[in-house]
Amino acid sequence: MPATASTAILSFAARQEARTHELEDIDGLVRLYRAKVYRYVAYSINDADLAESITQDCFVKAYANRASFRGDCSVSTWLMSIATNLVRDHVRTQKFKFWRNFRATAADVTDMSHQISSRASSPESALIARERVQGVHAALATLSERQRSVFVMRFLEEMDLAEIAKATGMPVNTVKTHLHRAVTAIRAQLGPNASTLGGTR
Amino acid sequence: MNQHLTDEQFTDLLLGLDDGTAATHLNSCEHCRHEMARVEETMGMLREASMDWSRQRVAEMPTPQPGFFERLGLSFRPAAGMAMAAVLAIAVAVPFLIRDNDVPQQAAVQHMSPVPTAEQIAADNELMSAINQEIAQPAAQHEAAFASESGKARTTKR
Repeated sequence: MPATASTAILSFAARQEARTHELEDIDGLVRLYRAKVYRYVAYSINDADLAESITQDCFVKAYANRASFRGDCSVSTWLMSIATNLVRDHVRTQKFKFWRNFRATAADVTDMSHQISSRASSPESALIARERVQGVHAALATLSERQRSVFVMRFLEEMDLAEIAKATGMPVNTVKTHLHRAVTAIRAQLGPNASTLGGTR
Repeated sequence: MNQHLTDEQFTDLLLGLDDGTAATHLNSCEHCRHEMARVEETMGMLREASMDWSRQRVAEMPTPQPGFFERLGLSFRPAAGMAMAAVLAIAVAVPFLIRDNDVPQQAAVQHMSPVPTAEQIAADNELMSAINQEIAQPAAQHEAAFASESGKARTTKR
């Protein structure tokens, strides 16, 4: 009979220990997914500085609501859905400021150009890559927040349509429609099909 | 006549949703193949650049130290205190539950009889008295242990 008491206490202690591990996990979660969430938010709202704060809010919210995560999607998709809601809240309340802020993020595009330079095999290919990436950024600026979010999830985060639908709460067909619009805008921005750097990746 | 892919067919192909028609066309159309290569290449450049950029930005951000979330007021401390109280409550309650578990074996037989005997009543009274005694005693110990544990938790937090 004392074994029953010990079992009950040990079981309770085990649950407590699991919670403690969750606490440790959130630190791991931040390390693992911070860049991903930040990238998604930064592109979605076109404001790199604000994205920093929204990314932090995303992890705080995830931590506070970790009990509601039932494991029916990946942690990554779950975080993206939290980030999506935060972005939407932000866009709703900061709609006008949002577009003004876009110009201020031009500096971020320049930052990105340095990254391209470090990867490119030659100055010429770096220049072409910079122009292409800047062209995509310009095209993204013409899209709605939802179209941009969906585009980032698909082409930067390489999520499949079902995952995007889950993270955004949109039907798959709506996701497809947004992607069609985004790809068409980007192709138009890239201009006539005149040159490539050669071959697919 | 060489009709190129529509925007929709092109995007379907890019998204992997093509039913095979666009892929077949691609094999025979240099223009569309070139366009697909250009768009895929651009997406790849964007992906790499954005990943490098975001990793660099995040590396420059202050790293949340362990316990960062606690400081935001999402601490588990109150839960830990409650947990300790619950553990103590279980520790106190379980012996009674065990005793209750023992009793029904006798009680099951007793319930077979419609009228309790004097012996059964005396046994019940003895059990109730023992329970009352034990409840009164560990309560003080429980409070002392909980106060001591809360003190320790506060010290640890500092």
